[in-house]
Amino acid sequence: MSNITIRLPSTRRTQNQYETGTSYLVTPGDVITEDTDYMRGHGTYCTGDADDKLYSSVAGVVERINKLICVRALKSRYTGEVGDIVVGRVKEVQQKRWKIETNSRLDSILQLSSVNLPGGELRRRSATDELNMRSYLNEGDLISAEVPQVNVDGILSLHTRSLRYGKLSQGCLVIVSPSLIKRRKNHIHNLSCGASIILANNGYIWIYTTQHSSQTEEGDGGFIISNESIPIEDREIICRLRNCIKCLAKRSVVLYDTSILYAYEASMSYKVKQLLDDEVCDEIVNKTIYLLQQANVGNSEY
Amino acid sequence: MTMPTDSRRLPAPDISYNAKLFTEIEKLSLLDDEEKRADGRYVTQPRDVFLQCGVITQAKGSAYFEMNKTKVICSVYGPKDIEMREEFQINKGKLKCELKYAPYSSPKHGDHIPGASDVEKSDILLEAISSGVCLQRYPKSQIDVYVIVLEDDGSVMPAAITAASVALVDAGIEMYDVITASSIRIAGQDTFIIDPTSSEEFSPLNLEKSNDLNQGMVMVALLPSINQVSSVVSSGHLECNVLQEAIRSCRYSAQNLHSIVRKCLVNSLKKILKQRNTAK
Repeated sequence: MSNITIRLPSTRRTQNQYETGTSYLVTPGDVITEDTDYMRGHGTYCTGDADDKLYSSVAGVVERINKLICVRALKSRYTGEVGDIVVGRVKEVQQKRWKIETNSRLDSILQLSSVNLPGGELRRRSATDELNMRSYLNEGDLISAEVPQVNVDGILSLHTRSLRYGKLSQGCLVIVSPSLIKRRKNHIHNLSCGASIILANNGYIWIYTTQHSSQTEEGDGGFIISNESIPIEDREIICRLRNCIKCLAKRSVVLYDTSILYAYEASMSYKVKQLLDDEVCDEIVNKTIYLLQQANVGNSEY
Repeated sequence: MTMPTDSRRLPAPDISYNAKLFTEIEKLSLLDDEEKRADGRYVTQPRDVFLQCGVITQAKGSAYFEMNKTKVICSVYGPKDIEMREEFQINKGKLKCELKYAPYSSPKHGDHIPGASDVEKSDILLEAISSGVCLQRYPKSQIDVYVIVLEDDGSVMPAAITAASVALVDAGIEMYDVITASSIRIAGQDTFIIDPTSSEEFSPLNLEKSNDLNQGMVMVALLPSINQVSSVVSSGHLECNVLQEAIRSCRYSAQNLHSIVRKCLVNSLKKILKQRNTAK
């Protein structure tokens, strides 16, 4: 007979538990202020009529900084900044460039001139390279890249001219809200638990096995996919990390290497599939928050 | 040996009639002796509604709207890169609307291929909501709105418009205002039936009772806080002053819906904020 799990309805919350009260919430069309002294920021508009009221244009929280009034929407798309690391999917192969889907409002662009081509050395892009574009990156491939430039209309230009970036081969993609990724110096980590992780700024997280010896030679330009089989232990580590990240994201804990590692350690007393239960998820998140607070207290003493 | 089948030929007999033609037509009168409707409502009483946003996790924004037996679900995707280059506008975003009836939405089994009425209803939806969205804030982009009618029991268009606007707000898209809508069946100069069911929408004329030829439907979409009308659709035979009066009643009824829409959106914001606060 198979096992049956029976759970308590602990995650069901009644409506009045949401009443926090302190923050000022608006929906589109609500008047934020009738005072004309304020400057209008994101998420607001005014009609330009004689009654110069300030209206909200998104549903969110009103934020005031001196004379500037903004409305911050709780759901937002990724807006790129120079220096960000992104993970994206190739959507289209065009002439001399690829279109990459990066969870941004508009698709990003990867020029043929901003990738490392096989052969290693910097060389001129010939017509043959242009014809071979599909053999380097095809539709549906996942890549990691850096943002060297944001165009005026918000389109991101990408580049992969470093051995750290390029095509992603075997691993697991987790998509979270971009606001949960903490901006750090380094977004590519070799975690001590035996897997590596790319915490891209656009909210796409890539988990893969650590390459022990530097197998990526200078020559291949990062376009070779290794299809060697990955041992079951490594796969379990990747799955555990994935479920931990999902747990943290569900409760909106900021994601960076330390928080993920703490969650991973906290999850060790459970099986990988148990992490999907709400109760286990809550427990792991609470433990992680506690550990993070402890670490912060320890740091501030010195 | 069997004959080869011809796919272009209909297997049905040449002449066929809908079975409903042979059933006895009920002489429906819209109101009973106590001035009440078939479902027990008064003339000016709309149905109770249920509204929730964030019901489809894969979509950027979504909403479910229910008025007793009329049920619609709406999902919003985008803003994303524009698909068709021909429709490209450099300084303005593009809104794409699609309204579909689920095959099981009405007693008569629906067609898989969108017919002319589906396209027309999609256009009405687009017209009603596009003036509420700040499209100039989304240059070179496209926003997709998909509405599926799960069950049709009258007043589908107002339900679809309201659900679409809530889903757009839920997706975090900049809007001048939320959009609420309402419809009215006019059965004679003095009888305005708010929020009609499908039997009330198409009930046959009972000319024995009255000789008033003012018979029709009016639907109004409204931006309630800035009090502007974004769309008016009227059908049937209506005199000018009757139409004016009907539009006024529709606006009043759409305005009443605003508080419900606002409450639903604020509650969903509170829910998200609460989840974030527990983690900190």
